[in-house]
Amino acid sequence: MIDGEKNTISEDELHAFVDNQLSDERKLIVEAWLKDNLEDAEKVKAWALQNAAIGKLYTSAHAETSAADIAADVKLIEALSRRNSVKESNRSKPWRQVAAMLVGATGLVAAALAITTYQGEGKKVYAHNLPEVSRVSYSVYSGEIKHPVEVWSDEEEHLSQWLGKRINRELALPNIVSQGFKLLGGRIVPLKGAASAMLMYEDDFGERLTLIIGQDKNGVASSFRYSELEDIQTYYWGDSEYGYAISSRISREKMKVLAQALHKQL
Amino acid sequence: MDDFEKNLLQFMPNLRRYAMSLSRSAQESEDLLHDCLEKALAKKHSWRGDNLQSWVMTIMTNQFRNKLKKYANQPQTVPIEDEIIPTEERMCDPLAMDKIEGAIDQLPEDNRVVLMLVIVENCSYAEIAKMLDIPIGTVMSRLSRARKSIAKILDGHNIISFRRPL
Repeated sequence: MIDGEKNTISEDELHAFVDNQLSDERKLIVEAWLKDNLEDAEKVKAWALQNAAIGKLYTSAHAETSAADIAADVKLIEALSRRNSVKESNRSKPWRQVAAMLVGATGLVAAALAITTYQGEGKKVYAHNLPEVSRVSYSVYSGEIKHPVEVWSDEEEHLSQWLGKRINRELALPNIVSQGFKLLGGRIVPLKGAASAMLMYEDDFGERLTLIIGQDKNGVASSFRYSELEDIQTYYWGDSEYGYAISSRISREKMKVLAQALHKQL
Repeated sequence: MDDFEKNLLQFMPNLRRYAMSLSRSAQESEDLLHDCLEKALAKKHSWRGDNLQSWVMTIMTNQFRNKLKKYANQPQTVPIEDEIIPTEERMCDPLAMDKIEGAIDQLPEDNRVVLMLVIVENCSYAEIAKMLDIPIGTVMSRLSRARKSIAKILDGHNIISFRRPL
């Protein structure tokens, strides 16, 4: 870092000075250098300002850890640790060893094991499945004329109870009439091997929108996310127990307003 | 909770922050954190008792790179949390902070990771070199590039030159 022969300070050492990674001795030498070398001093000042600003940005965004945060982290580590133990014990089961031997013999067994293993990584599958299930459900059911839903909105109470029971929660069917969309009805769709609720809404121009609500026991509260594929736009988000996704072909701005309205009611 | 898990617990804020600096999205950073913790817990017997934070961050870095490869062909997602959910706390100088955050977002991943490890996690250059499995010279060149890029972006907004963020 130091160019002794020319008695200069290298740029690497200037970085190390800013980042407080020099010995006390070298720090003094660099400080003396900066007094006489204003160009380097300016450089160091600008980097120090960057450091301070970035440090402040991240300190502010991740403020002091509260007791509740620590308790949540303890729970998370314990849950993941338990999950590992279960995986470990499953791995050692004799039937798995036999199945592993059969992998080479039949592609079907291999595929089945692959699915099992992948599903074992529950959260990952869920996070990537939710918007996909939402998009596909919209794509499959929104074009249906006669049977877009299994239970129509004229049986709202039954619909609410039925779907709520299948996804293990009380489900007040969200109302987005003030955003121009009336509830058509709902149905069950599969998500990560379990039932999730799909509600379908329609505006006066026949544009449809689907809402998926699926249970995710390992869920974490998350912000809104957006994805777009084949003209179908999907907004999705989650809380500690459920994931939510809406899909439609309406404008992104309109989708955003609808996502906000639904988020408030769910 | 065993000793390993207790040690892990004390680094959770750092790990969460590092996940965010890698993925730049609230949801993806939580996914990354979970995956990383799961892996670290599964491999805890292979930890040699040296710097645990650095060991777990190395796992996270590798998982993030693997994810990038795996999901390269998936539809793009865009974080929009700021558009919809009001941020809990805004900075005293939101304009400057937003620009700085924007500048960080624009950095190439390799440069951003080094910058965040240095500034936010206070890792030494040698630790970063070990963690990312790169020569220390590469750490320095990435750090230098990151700082120059940020300065260039911020100069365009007159942020660093005329405003003191603190």
